[in-house]
Amino acid sequence: MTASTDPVLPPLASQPSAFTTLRRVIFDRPATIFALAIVVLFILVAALAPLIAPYDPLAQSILDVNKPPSAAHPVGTDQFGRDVLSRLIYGSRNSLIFGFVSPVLAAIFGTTLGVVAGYFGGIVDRIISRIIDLLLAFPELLLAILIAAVLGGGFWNVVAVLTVAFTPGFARVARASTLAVKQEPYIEAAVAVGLRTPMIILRHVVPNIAAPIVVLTTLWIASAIRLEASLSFLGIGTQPPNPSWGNIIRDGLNNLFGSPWPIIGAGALITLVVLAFNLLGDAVRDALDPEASK
Amino acid sequence: MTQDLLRLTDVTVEFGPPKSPVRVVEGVSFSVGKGESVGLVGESGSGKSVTSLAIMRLIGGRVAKGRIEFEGRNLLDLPAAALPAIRGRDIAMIFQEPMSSLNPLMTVGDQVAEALLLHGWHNRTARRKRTIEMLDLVGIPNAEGRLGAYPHQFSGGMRQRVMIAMAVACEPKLLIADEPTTALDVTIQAQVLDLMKKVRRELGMAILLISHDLGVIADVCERVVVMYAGRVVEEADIRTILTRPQHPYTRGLLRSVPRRSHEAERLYQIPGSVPPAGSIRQGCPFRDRCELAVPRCAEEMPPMFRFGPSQSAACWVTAAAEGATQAGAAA
Amino acid sequence: MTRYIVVRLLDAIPTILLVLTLVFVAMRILPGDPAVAALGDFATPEQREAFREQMGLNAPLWQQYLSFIGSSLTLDFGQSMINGRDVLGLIAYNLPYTIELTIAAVLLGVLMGVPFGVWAATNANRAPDSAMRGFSLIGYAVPDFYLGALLLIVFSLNLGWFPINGGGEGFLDRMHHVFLPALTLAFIKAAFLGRLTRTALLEVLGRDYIRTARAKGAREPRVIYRHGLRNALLPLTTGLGLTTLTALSGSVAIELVFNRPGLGKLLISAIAERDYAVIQGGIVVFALFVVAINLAMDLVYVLVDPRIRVS
Repeated sequence: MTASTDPVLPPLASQPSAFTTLRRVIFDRPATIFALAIVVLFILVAALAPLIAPYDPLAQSILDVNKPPSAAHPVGTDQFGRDVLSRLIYGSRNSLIFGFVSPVLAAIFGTTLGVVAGYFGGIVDRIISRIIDLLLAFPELLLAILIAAVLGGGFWNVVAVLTVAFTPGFARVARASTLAVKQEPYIEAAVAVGLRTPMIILRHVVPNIAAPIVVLTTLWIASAIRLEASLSFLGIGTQPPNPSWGNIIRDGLNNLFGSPWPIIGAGALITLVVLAFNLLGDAVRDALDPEASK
Repeated sequence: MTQDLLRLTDVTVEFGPPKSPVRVVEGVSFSVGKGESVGLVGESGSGKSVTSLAIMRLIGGRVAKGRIEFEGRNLLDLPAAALPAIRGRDIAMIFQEPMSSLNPLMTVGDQVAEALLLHGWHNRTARRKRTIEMLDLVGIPNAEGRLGAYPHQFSGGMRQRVMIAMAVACEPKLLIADEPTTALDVTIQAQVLDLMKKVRRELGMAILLISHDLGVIADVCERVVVMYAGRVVEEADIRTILTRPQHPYTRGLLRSVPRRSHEAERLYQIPGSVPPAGSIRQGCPFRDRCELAVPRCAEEMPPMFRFGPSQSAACWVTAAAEGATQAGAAA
Repeated sequence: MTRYIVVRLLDAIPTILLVLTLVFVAMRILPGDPAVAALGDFATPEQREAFREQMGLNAPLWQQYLSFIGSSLTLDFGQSMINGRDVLGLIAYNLPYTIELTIAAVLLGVLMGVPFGVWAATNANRAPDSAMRGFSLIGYAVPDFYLGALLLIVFSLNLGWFPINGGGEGFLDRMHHVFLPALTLAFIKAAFLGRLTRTALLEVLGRDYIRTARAKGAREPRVIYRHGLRNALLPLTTGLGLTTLTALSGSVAIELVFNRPGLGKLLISAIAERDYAVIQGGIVVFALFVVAINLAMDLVYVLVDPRIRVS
């Protein structure tokens, strides 16, 4: 995972050429063009799934159990006679939703926590920081498993689990950035003028810590996708019969002697999409904060 | 003349891609005799450090031309595998930043002993004894007790002493010292320089001292080589350099040294700044900052002219004024 | 240094308490009736009440909290809801397999990754370095359970070189069983460790004391290993701690893939069976391990860096 846990990414002054740099970083390297293509393809497939999928992903058929890849079923069928390709296509929707929604939610919660801790300081800060540090000491997957152990699987639970797993990382970055921004003279000026605290935070602190948060969000889309796949594989993520790339592999393992194709297909897709997002995330980071790479 | 221990002839060092190299040092020639102490002086950007690193082939660039002869052998001809035997044993080097130049995770005793181990001291007891001797020599109090100490437990001056101990442990014939006192306080500077003189006396070593500080060089060296923008511009014994410099740059350097007798005056500064490496392709590199410059200076690089038995300088104008004749093939 | 160690050890106590508190809070805010969750929809009100009594759920919250902390610290997790067996016993049986897997994975990862990283660093920006970069890109993207499944298919199913499931009995048999699972995790750890080694070593090789070592007459291998790698060990130690943690969390899925006994497998089964007591015990033990590994990480770092050790 290339998720950065650096505590301080320097707050960026608004750079007029940020987009140009981004464009250049992405299009100058063949690897990132490839990554961008994969990501676009992924989003399209997920969005257009009902139109593209040749079969209903839940439709079972006793006659077509464990068929190897063929013209009718390009990736074969599973032990319930379901078309694997359709399941893979629908599975991409899960990955897309969890991949985007969770980091965004975690960014919102984490940033709020971090800003509160950083801005108000004192005992509030110490308590929050202590909890954040503790949560960060856990590897994300383990934290997610432990939370899912309590909540169980299912769509909203997975969203909750992923959000909680990523929140501490955002909180730490937000807190560090807030601490840095708090020293700036314009904050002092705002206080002197008599601006009320919520206004100060909303209008002066948040916009100035936005940049590192955005970078972090992009970096963690890949992690979110991978995490959801892991949880679904373990059975505490997306529940069957809803297809998720993770639980397709799980079903596949129970059907090892039947057909290896669901496993091969689903795993390859996870690898490809995570790789693509990793590359893109690296490019975004290189563009907006060159010091942080390596 | 004493037999030359080290002789550089027309040394040119390049960096960067071979198709479009940057010449950081060009046509440098000078020599160091057995037991002699020679200073290499110049501002940052003069190429003096690069030159000294090139002698032991410790730089990232290439020596594109010239010869570096040690005891008659051209070091540039040696295969890379043969160099470690010479480094530390025949030629040793100390550097500017003693803190970062010592391995923070190795004890001081181990680092000095390593220099011995690398050059044939296989007996541990003998190494230990010699290490203590060396640390004593350089003035580390309670040497035996401090063998197990780490570099971060010493002050800057002490660390530099350790570096010197490490460098001279195998009694090299030549010690190259690259700005050894620049990072130290003035009072400590004096101590370290005294130490270097003492070590030189006791071991009969030659010293090549590189510094931007003429005062430091004057303290230790018998002869001085002045470099500017990658070239040697003047060479003379220390008295002559201080009293009758013939190159405008050397004169400028001397004028910039603060003097008590001229307290009330504004400190002199040579106008302009050092040109970036390799930017001057033709003519004398100092011409843009030189009071004496004439049109010829921009057209042709002056060769070294002889101004006396032990002085040469590369300047059209002063050579003409003094009636100096061109120095022959490398001195 | 002793002072540092003592402080760190003392600091672990509030950390452990905080962890247990968080676990307690998490389990108590679980929506819904735990009795229903555990016993199912068809349990009678009497059965649910008996369950609540048994689990102490009718006592005031603070009392439940204290008894939870107490029983967790004494490792008294009660009995499994499904088969009545002693939870601690179940954990004690499964834990060694997980520890075995984690250690094997880390060892293999180091053996594969560190030399690769050294090779990449000493050949920076040439072919080996690109190979490293490619390897680490794949390693960061491929899910460990996918790799495990692939290895299982090829080497156990098709070639029959390794067993398909289980943990094994006796030392050699256990080694045989742990190899493929450990290798799976190790590949991914190797990608991380290799990249870390490369970066750390390259950074160290740019330092001044490396130049000093060469100037002293040290030959290249000595420069790279005695001076370079030795100094790169500091960031590597932190990386090693992280690796152990991710290996531990990866072991859960791998145990499932290879049908191996282990703490993760126990926890996952308990989740599926809604075995409240085992879930609780499993979470607590995992959490305590994480705290322990973090602590060990800090202590090892102190030992390795003399700048902290001797001052």
